[in-house]
Amino acid sequence: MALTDVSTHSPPDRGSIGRLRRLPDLDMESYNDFLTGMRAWMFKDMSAATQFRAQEVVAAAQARGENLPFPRAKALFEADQTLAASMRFWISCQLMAHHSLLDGFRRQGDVFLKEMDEAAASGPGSLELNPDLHIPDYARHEVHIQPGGYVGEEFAGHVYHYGTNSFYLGRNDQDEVYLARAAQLSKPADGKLECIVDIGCGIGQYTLALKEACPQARVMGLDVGAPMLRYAHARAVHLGVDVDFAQRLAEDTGLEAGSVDVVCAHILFHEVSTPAAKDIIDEAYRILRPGGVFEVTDFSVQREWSSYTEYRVWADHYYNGEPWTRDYYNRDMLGLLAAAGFEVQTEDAPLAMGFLKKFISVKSAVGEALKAA
Amino acid sequence: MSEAEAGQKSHTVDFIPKDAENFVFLENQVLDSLVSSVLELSAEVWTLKRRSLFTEALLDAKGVVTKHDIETYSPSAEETAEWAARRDQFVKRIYAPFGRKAPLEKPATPDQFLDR
Repeated sequence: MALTDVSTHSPPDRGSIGRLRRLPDLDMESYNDFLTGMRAWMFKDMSAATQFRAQEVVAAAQARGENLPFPRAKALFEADQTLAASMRFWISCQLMAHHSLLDGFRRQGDVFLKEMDEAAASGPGSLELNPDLHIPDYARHEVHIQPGGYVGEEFAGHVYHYGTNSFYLGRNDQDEVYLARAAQLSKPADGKLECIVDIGCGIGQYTLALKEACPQARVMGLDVGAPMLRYAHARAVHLGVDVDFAQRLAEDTGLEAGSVDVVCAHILFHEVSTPAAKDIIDEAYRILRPGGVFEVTDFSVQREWSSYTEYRVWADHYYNGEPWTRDYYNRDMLGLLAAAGFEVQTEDAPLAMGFLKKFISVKSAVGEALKAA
Repeated sequence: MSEAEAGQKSHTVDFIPKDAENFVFLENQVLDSLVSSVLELSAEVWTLKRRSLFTEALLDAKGVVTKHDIETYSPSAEETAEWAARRDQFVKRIYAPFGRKAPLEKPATPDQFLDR
């Protein structure tokens, strides 16, 4: 983004609704309100119609005596115009959300950039950026087809926050999902909780919730994207939450070995390559103290894999900017965590309707012994 | 570029783009574009309707309103819920045809009409 593109127009302050600052102008707010309604309709009514249609397509193929390996199923689903229309709706709504938000924040860009600059120099908490950080290619993609991704757009944090709000259908406007998950943080058995590190923290919604759930702990949020961290810290300052944010790689935190009680990775692992995943797991193991917990929350790979489900998850990977979900769904997360020395249990993540799992990974004495063997 | 902008440091790096703007899903590219255009138009119509809702609520309460009043108005909890329901009805009215469960095979229609 050329910084000549930002405007210097000062908007009226539209205040906040609870924890959520209102979007800077009424039209922008209303346009995204439409998208919230549109997504709710797509997730319910349109989804029912496409599931029905997909079953018809599969049944017709089976009646013809066809097997349906993935390439054939994909071809049939792509050719069906009802299913193709649902894809068009989905991706168009993604693009509309991102462009309306980006255009809107850029219209008053000077104001929002200045806000983040001023917050960067103030507390509570802190913001450490590293302009010399080598950002690996795996982190440079336009994830969720968000323009510039997490690293290439100054307003990445703003766009991510309000874009995901309509994805959550308004049910996370007050960080409800993150607060609920933080309240059920997987804690060490001995109860010692002085240092929590949230890796791949993004805009810090879970990081802030962790600090609010565990006020006695030092909470750090690490991410690769400076724009995301600038937004995260500015929001933390606005909400008065004391969190230290730093631009560091999850696989190279710079933290002392054995110095952390809990490491959290919330919906991080489906956005990293498998080589990076291995390095991140090893780094989490290194920085955790014995008895510490690595709480990994991410997509459940154990699901009903119908032909159409596989197609839609592939479509999310290919069309919706999820470059690493193919790696993720073919990756043995339990195996990687165990190989690193963790003892792992899984359970459903709160407020995720079974789509997300927690891999609760403990750095135990048993695990250390197995690793050493 | 203003002096302030000239001094503004960039916090961004090169990224790997995804050419999402040029995806085409429907067989007919014009139809594919039309769906996107209709979605945009719907968003614009709802944006106008919602501005009317804000304006009317303020006029009812105050009699005379300014642009600033409209931009900064905070709907009550009741208004928020009612207007969200109206939005959902708006979406459903326009898009209900796309929510039909369409079987692959169209049902057969009668072959006979005139008795001859």
